[in-house]
Amino acid sequence: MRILLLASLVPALAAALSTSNSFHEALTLHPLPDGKLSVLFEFTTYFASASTGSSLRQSHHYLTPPSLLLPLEHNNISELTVSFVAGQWDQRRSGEAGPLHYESGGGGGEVRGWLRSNGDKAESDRAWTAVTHALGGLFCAGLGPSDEGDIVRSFGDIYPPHRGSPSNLTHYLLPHPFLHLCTENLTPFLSLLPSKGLSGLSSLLAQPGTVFSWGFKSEGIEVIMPDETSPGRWRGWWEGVVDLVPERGGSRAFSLERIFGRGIPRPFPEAETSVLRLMVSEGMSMEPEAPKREGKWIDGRYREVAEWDLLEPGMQGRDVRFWWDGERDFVHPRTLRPPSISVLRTVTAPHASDGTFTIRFSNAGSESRRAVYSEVWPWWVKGWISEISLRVDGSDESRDDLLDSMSYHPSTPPTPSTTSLHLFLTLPAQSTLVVSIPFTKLTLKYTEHRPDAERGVEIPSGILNLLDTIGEPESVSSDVPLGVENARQTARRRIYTNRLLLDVPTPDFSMPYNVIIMSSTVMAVFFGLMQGALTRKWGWVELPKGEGRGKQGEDEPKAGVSVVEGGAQLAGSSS
Amino acid sequence: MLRRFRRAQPPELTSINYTPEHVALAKTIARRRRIVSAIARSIPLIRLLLVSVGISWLLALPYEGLWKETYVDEHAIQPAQVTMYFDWANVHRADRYLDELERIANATFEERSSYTASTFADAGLSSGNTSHATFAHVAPPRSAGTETILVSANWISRDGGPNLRGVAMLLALGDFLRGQNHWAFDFVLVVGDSYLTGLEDFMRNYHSLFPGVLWTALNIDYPGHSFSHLGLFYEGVNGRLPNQDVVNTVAHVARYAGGSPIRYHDVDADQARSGYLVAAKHLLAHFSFAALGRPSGAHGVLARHRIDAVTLYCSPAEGPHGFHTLGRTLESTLRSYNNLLERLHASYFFYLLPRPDRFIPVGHYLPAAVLLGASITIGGFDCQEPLAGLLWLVPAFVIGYIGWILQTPLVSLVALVLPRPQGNARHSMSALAHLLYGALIPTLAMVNFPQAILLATIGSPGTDIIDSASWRAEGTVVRDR
Amino acid sequence: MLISLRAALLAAVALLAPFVVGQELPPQLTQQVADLFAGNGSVSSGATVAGIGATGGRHTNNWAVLVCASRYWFNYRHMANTLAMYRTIKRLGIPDSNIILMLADDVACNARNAFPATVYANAGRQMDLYGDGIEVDYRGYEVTVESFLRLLTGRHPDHLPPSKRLLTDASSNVFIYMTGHGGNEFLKFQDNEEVSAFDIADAIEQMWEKRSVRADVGIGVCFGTVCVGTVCVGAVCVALPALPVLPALPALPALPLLPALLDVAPVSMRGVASPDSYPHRPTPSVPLSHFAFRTPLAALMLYPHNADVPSRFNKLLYVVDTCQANTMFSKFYSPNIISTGSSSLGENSYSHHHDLDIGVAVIDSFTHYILEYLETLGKSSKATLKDFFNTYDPARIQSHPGISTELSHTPRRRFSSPTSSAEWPPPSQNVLAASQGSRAAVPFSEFVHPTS
Repeated sequence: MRILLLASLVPALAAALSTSNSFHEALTLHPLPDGKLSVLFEFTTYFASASTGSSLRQSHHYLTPPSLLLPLEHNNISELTVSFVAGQWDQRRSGEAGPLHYESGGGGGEVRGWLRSNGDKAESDRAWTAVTHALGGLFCAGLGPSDEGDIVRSFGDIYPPHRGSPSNLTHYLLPHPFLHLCTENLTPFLSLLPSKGLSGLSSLLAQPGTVFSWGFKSEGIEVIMPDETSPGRWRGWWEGVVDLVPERGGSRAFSLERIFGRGIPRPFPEAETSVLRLMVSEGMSMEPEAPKREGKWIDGRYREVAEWDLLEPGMQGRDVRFWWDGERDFVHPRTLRPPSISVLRTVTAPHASDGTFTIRFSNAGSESRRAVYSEVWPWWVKGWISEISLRVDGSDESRDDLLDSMSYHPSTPPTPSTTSLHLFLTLPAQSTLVVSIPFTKLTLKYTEHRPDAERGVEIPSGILNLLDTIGEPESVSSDVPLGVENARQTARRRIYTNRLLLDVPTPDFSMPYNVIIMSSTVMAVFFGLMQGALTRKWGWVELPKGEGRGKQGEDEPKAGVSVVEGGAQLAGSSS
Repeated sequence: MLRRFRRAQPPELTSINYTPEHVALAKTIARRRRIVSAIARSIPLIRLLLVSVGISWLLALPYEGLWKETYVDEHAIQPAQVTMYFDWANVHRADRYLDELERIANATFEERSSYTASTFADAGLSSGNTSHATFAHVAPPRSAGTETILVSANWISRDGGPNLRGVAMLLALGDFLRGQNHWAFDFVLVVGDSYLTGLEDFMRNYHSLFPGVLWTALNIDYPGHSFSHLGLFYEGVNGRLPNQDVVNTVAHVARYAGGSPIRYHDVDADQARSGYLVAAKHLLAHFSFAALGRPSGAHGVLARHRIDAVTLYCSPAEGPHGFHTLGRTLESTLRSYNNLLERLHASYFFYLLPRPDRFIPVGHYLPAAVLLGASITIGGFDCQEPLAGLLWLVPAFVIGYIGWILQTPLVSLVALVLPRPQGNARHSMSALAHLLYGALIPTLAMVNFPQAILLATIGSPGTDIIDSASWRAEGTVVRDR
Repeated sequence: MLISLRAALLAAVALLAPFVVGQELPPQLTQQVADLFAGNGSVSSGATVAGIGATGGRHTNNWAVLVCASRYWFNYRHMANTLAMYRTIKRLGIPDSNIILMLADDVACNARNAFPATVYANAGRQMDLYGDGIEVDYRGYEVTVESFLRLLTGRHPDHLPPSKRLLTDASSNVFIYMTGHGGNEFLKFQDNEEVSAFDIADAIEQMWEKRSVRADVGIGVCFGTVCVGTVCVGAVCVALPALPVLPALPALPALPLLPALLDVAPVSMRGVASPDSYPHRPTPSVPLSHFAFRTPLAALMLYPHNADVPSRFNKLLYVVDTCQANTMFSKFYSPNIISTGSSSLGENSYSHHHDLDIGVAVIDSFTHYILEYLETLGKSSKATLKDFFNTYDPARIQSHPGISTELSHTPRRRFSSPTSSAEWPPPSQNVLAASQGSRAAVPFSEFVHPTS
């Protein structure tokens, strides 16, 4: 009887569980034109809150990490993204505007999120600080703000919420461009996954020696908390760029074993899907053949994607090999096609105390684009916003018409705070727009310098937010030829620039400074003596007879008494 | 000034109207007058004394007693502590590039540039060119792109001949660096046209092309077939010197990692008859560059951008070293630069190098210039009409300024036809000129010591002649007190 | 007013106390109180008079604080030192949650590291110290003098996550290891600031005499029969003249700590707390423990204090590997500390060897040799600290390592009479193992896993 009862419950349970809590993992391989390979791990978990779904109160914590979700719940977070980026993404050589996972942030560490606020700003700030510190402790990275003024609050339009409306949500952003990415960040990431790095694709990732030898690396999590109507989703990603060409030259042929040191791992039992995808480039062959090949719009180009289902029996332990037909030694292409939009930010005219940010937006596409370019500066970088100039490369005329509007939130020095600047731009087709922003570096207090003050300070990446993207359609008619490009058919809305290292004028922390000060003090102290000796002249003055008995040397301001030269007072008397 | 001493005679001290304070004061004033007049009388002697001490100090600079031993101050550098991977395969590559370069040695800049750019591109580096330079950008996998090291080799060597082996070395280096995973800096490899202009042109455009900050650089100059010594040239434009750590690092690395001995300025220090003469040769070579503000190698144009750089000059010889030694030296030096986490700030920026492994710190050579400057300044104390003197000096300043704008010293010939002042105004102008010049010399000596010495030695005799003439004219005045 | 039952009992006793003015305390009580204030804190010495909770003698958990205070790539060896100790104590049983690891720079994933995500302590690169499961609590710019001292004293802002706090209690044995560049009585943090031996001594003393701020705690000091009470609310204390009958006066074993007990806001911890910010140790000529019970009345009033005041460690093992390391622990004055350092005053600590592929020195001499010994220990090893110290060989280490056990707990009573002033607490100098006697006969395992 009891068994029957249980048996009747099982399908209900199964149904409830499978629709509301599920874990999906995917590994995407994307060969880049200059002999590199972009590797992206994505682990997505959908979870329902306890109130949705069936009447049975299930916990999703067999899939989701309470150490991550509970602080978010407790502090009323609606959405949160944490990302760590190490290395630099070479837009020109890779042909892509950024890494494969679009939510990767700029260089270094970054936390951003939406809080459900009830209007109380102090409370929201406190919650945000608590969450970032808690996550910082979780990820072994200093993610919290060192000062309340470090938090940037004006990026709500750049990172619109996935759910809910901005009216009852507050957006916060904290960039930490100096954060490193290392094993102590990977370990907690793996421990957040249900497979814990032991089975499934996460076991490929749990090899720090391999993973950290990759060039560009990006790690991150994105959490969308569930609300009354929809389930929550948390996604972790890990992306890296592997150099396929051996150091002395050779063929690009690669396989899972060559990159990860092992074949397809044993599947994680609770994974609903586990796929290996390859974005097929021209001339590629693979073994074993992919059971599924389809065309997909990815980042503005219609590409062919081959997919393997790793949960299939018989896949475990196998190696998947890829090679290019007829390629013995890889020849680096002489010219590489740049992505349709690329951004380069540099500092021109760098002097000790000022410079000019020069940002070059290259639009290789055939239509003009509309975008917002945003920057975050520390309090001691003061841009001359009135001097912003725009021009198109190749001509000197000023193109202020390309700047539609601007939103500027200045810092309040010397309290720690940030400046954020948003420029609404039009990028003309087939040209490069050059925006120049002169700036001055204010003086930091002696105690505010970093321990490595002579190095300089990193400035967070600039963000170009494209306003006119259409998104990537899921299914498309099959008569679209492969390789077709449409720059707006992309879900990548944000393109990041590189970080910059700004020289900070430092005092001379070392001894010579003290010596100079001391010798200057000595000179200043003795200056009076010296000047007096040099400019004061002693002499005798005869007062006319009949005035006070002709006493000589009296200090009386009568006629003939003061012989002033060079400001020195008079002769013959000690005043 | 002298006139004021003649104003009044102190009264008799025995008069009953005077208090003891008056008496004391009168004695003091009388004594002071005597001292000052004694000094004023002997000013030429004092000047001569200062000048001779200054000159003898200069002559003592090549003497060992003033030297100190060099050391690498920045702990981060750890020179020659790391294994090198540059080997004969890379040397072979360099030889192949050299063959190609020899074919196109006399082609136009466009042809040469397209060859180098395509060679860099074949090695997997992004390359391009400005109007007078070709460049390639090495982006090692794990570098953040925020800091960059520059390595350059220009088409013309400092000898005036072609620098083909230097360019071949650079091409081989680009090929070598690609794919290596242990660099934290990006590299920019520049092949500049002719001797200096290409690199200067590149530097003007660098900041529009790349975001990384440049802290250190190396320039390769390899004119002959082989070399016996690596010569280091370190003077920059306007006599600006790189941080001494750069020189010391390269010297240390070349000796212990590369295996080649080091020279400064290609001065032969081996067959020395006496250490003094060798040191004097070194210092004279240094002075000949810095005094006129000439860069001693193409690295000199980088000084203006606050980049610490030296030129590695391979002294042509039948000697044993070639691409292999140079390549290993370069690699190990770049590994040491790679260790830097901050701009070089630890070691000296002002120094004289009399010999490899020795240097003269500022405190040991600056007094020479200060003494020379002091002697000139003392000659300017007797200025009776400062305003008139100043007015007469204004045309001189104007001429100098025009000369600076037009970048030619010939403008000073105009001074020959200008009206001359007479009498007191002339003397005052001369005194003011002494004061200004005397203030200029020690100040300049801090920044560019050889130039200050040059100005002091040129200036002093001339002013001394004028001075002695004017003193003789007013000799009677001085004695009459 | 928080009055425990014990305190109420004492209140009753105190009320009656004026009637026994002038009488001597029974000798064993005198001795026990003397022992208590001498810091012995041993249960066996009978300090359960009126139910005083012992402050020590039982240890139930272990914590470790490992600090690498220098940054930059060329200080790889300091990172390697710290990570080698980290690996050792993890191997011997302390879990990550009980280890606070502070690394001032990232060398494992530094782009200059030819072997990414690894740190090796020997040139053969046999063992990777970074491994797969490492937890670095304080990284990079977070490692400062201020954060280290806050860690020790426990004064943190509210939002600091628990993984960054030293959550020790009175039965924790704590192992502190510090390495970096140092000198005579200082250690450099991040190459631009310094922590002095006095600061660490004070912080450790605060760990020993931990008090929390409560609104209704009264603190009293008795001079003869007149007691002065202080009432603290939050961080503000007000002194009140009080009658001798005021009950429940947790008292001060050491008068100079009064300002510390006021628990002012952390602003006093900013940067380097100078020795002048609070007077930090009693001079040996006026041992306060004797002052305290010069009158029997005062003794009675004084002893309840430990009931509410847990210290933050039971025993402390302090190891430091820097130049002139032995000076770093020369200023300690808290009990139950055993310290050892790599070199004495005027000596440098040298790196042991260099790896040519990594390009830097990979480990320091002292840490290398102590690791050689520690590798021979297992979880069940019975080796004592004395054995450990016996392995020191100044010739191989190239400097003279020092050991100090003067402040450690000894089972025998140390006071022969109330008026002697022997042995409280003279800061000891560097003495090698042979003379440590029974004080160093502490099993090393006490510092890596619970024994009782």
